[in-house]
Amino acid sequence: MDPANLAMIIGSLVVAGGASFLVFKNFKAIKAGLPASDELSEKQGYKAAYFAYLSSVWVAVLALWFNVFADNSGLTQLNAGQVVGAVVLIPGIIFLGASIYLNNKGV
Amino acid sequence: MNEKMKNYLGFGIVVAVIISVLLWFSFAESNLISLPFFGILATIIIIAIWALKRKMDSVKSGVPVEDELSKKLMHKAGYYVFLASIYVTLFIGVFEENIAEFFGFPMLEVHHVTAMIVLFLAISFMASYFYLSIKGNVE
Repeated sequence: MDPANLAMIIGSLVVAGGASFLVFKNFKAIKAGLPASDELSEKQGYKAAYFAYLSSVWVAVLALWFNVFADNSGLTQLNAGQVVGAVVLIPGIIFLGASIYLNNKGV
Repeated sequence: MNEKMKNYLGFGIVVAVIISVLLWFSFAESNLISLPFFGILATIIIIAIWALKRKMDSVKSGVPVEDELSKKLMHKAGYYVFLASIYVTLFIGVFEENIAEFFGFPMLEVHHVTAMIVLFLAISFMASYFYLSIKGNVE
């Protein structure tokens, strides 16, 4: 299998797993009669999403640079589907990582 | 991270975008899609340079660059843009692969896709930031 496709499948599984965990946690809180999100978790979400936003700008810019570099050095260029996948998956993973980090460290 | 370091990082982003624009133009052919893109990109770069210059002036005069409100505004604007960017990026991917071919639109090339994503991220962040700062809803 192409390494880029393999990375995308693994990335998708990580993002889907993380999102399922968050949804499951919210459902559990609602079932127990607790609010799904409080002030702290909202702040954490905003901050983690801000980091993910910055990373998505860099991922898009780096994809453009990589294609220029690949064009000049004979490497295979990323196609549009791979760029789209990278711009969705990498910030998604960073969002999950930042959420967990901020949850442990505090905002 | 101190104020100067933050400014250098911001300056790095502007330089990266300018280099990307130049590289993108070296790819792009002189077609209709290039001219509006160039205008939008030039506007974004001018606004970014103006914002950076304002920050540098603040650092020089000893005034804090960011206060609590502007941090909250940035985080909330980033949150909205991040969520929107997932949908928009996926739509661009679907459009590029299926819709364009089905309706006979011109197929997007990879540098067009990348440029559209960067443009969307920049414009929507600015719009979201200005909207939230005018509305004052940061909680």
